[in-house]
Amino acid sequence: MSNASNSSETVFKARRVAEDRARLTQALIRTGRGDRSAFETLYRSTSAKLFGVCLRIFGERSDAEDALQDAYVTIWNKAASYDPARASPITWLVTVARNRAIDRLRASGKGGLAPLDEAAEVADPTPDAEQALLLRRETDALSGCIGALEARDAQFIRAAFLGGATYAELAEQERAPLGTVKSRIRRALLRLRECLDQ
Amino acid sequence: MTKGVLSEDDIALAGEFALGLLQGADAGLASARMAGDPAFAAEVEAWQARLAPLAEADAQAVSPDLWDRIVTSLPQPQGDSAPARLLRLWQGLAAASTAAAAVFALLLVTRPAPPVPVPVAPQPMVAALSSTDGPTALTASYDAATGKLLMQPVRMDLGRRFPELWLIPVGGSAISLGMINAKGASIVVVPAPLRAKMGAGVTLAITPEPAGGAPGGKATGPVVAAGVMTSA
Repeated sequence: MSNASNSSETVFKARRVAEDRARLTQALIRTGRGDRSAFETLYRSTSAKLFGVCLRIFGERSDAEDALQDAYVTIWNKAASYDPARASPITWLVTVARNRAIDRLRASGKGGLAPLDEAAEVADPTPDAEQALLLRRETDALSGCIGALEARDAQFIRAAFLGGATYAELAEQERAPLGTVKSRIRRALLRLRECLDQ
Repeated sequence: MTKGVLSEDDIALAGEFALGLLQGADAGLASARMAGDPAFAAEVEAWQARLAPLAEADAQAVSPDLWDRIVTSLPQPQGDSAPARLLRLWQGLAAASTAAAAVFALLLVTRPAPPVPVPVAPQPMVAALSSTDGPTALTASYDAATGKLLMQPVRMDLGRRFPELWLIPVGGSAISLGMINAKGASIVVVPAPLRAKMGAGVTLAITPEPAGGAPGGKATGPVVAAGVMTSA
């Protein structure tokens, strides 16, 4: 009996996730058509999550809020280019927020290697987050596959993604030729992809 | 998925691009290639999806006044005048080929009606070159019969640099087509060996370069405008 109730609960959760995703997709598409109330809906349901992303990159509220503001203005301006067939709304939003935050981090000269030693683990998504069910699965998979890389390679990838580290900075820190670091990261990326796509 | 379509080199390149490891001209060329190479674009997007969970963090409460700050920094709502619509269309172009074709169609509307095409003539290829975050925009039209490519700047301000035109074949890397005129139309005669590559889906891109062109045939400037060729 408990199996049956578990599975119906899973179905129920999966349906909620799908509905949340459909709502977000609609809000994002309507934002792309210049609908401000849809943009506000989008903001209300995703800003806490994207603020978490910005805080992760900046580690400090004031800079992270400036980055978040910048991210939503970019989302408003670029929403018309969102294609639901190509990306989930949350992936698209996280990618825009991360890219804007990294641009700002680099422009401020604060980017680079700090995250090498911090944030060694992929964060758990909050249990009550709307996308929890699906995201946890993706996060667990990425966490596992990054964990399977050599520790140094995993740190390089985190430093680039969360700290905006460039090849030149990684090479300097590693005291290795740039070409060596580059081919090492390229190999690690291919290994990561193979692991994730299994 | 796109497995098997791209080489491992290209898959790694897409990953480097999504991670933000590419700089300057390399980043610009990868971005231009996304516009013309759907398999490469899909791989970059797949990398973004693979890596996005790395940025996931616990949700955090945001200051209540941030929404007001965002609203005040949005572009002011405009009436739905034709220039406003055109501006939004340019802004939203995002180098998508369908959008590029639409923009070109819109530009044609503002000109005298084109002559009725001779039925047997090959269709010209066209492209609208622009960028989402810069002012530079051009139109291109290519006549396969003569190998001539007409480049017409709509807006261009490269400061003290000069526009160099690049051809990015589907699944290939950038080939210089030489310098073009920043202020007026240029006719570029595509070298015979490259004409076979000129078809729907190839990307044209502009980078700012020193006088005389990119040293060693390798772009040094960022891509300031790019667009995909489509049948007119």
